[in-house]
Amino acid sequence: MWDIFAVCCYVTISALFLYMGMIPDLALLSRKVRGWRRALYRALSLGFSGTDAEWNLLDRAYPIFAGVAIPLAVSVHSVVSWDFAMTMIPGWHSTIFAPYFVAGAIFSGLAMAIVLLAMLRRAYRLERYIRADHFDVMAKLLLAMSIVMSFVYVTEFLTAIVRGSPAERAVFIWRATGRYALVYWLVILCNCLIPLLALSRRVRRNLRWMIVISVAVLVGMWFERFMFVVTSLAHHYDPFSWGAYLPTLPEVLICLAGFGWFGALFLVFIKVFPSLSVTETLQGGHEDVPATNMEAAHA
Amino acid sequence: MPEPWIALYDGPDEAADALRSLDELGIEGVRLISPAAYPAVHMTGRPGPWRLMSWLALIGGFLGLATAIALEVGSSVAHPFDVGGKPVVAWIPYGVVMFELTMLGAGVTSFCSLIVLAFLSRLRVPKAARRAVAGDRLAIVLPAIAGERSDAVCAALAGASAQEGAP
Repeated sequence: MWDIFAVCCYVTISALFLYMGMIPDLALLSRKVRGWRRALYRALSLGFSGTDAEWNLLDRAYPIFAGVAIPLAVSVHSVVSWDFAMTMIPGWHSTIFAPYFVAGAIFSGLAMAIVLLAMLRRAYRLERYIRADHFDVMAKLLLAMSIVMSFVYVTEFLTAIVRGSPAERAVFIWRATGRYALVYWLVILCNCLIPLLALSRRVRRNLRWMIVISVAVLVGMWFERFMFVVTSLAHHYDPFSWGAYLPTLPEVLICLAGFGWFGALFLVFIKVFPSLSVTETLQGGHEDVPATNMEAAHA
Repeated sequence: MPEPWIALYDGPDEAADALRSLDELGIEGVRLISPAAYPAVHMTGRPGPWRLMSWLALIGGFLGLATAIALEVGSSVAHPFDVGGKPVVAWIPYGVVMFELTMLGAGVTSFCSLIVLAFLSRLRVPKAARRAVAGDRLAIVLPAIAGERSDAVCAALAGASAQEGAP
């Protein structure tokens, strides 16, 4: 019940937020293109004309939507974490899970945004609009989230070792030293150590380095979820039920299909709809912001 | 009823200059149509029913909350499962659904009110003016001015390098 409401509400509000921001763009584009796109954009722009009253309404709607969407984002990740935390399984039964999941979602979402922005920048020649400054700021946030994640890892490990039950302690030690130790240390490497490279300003402003760091974070976050799902189930209270898990071929294919669907839908979206806000670009172009070079990225 | 005056501009700076000139002349009821949210958009005194949106969002939030309570309490009472003597109507677990539906109600109401209020606000701007704007141009729309001030208004609009004017 919780999951259905949390996920459905989050999807609905996120989709409406995205759509609302696109309405002025669709209205503008409907006057510039022909064919089926014109009909599509005109229908989706809902008659937006760009009057001052409409802009005032949009200005008012943005903070309301942001105020609704941000608590929803926190709640949806908290609710998903409570699905785990409310079980009695060692490694999951922890009060730190809600902030842990929220921080993890921001961390991996930011890494994904950096990778996608870098690809868009390269493919559509958007160097003038997506600048080194943007990657610099995102890298700082990524670094901050990496430190938060490191803090969470240390906190849950120390809590389990110092104050946890014997089963809890055993799971955490087994994670670091047992059959899945490679996964554990890969997670630490990708989520805690590699992002520290972003401490260097030169790295933060280098597109290739940022892609490497972001891909490492994505790999680390994927294996982090694998780690806490698999290791807790493979090593909980009853030693008779201890075992190992290796994904079967159908499971691997389902996982790859998930990546494929995401990629395909994303590509279709940026093919049909503007990947960059046209009206905000007009606004920014009016201020005539000079483009800066991304060091080494396009050398 | 006389046709409104429409002046078209290629850039936001020219439109902003014209708005300033019109303001100095004390002309009221001036509206702007713009492809982007340039600063000039906020020079017409923030017209439109934008203040209503927050109230409508609040009402939508309360409606969402009421729906969540009705759904949770109604389903628990309709199917009362006794779990170890725990109360059938359990408010703490309801909290998540109540929060989610409150937010959903506020968000969906905001979106719907944006669409409806935008439609209503468009009715106050002549269709001819909305159609006159194409591409990246901006339009200033004002009520027809008669008498001595018409020359001054024309000069203010043209002085700001209007590309075209009507009527």
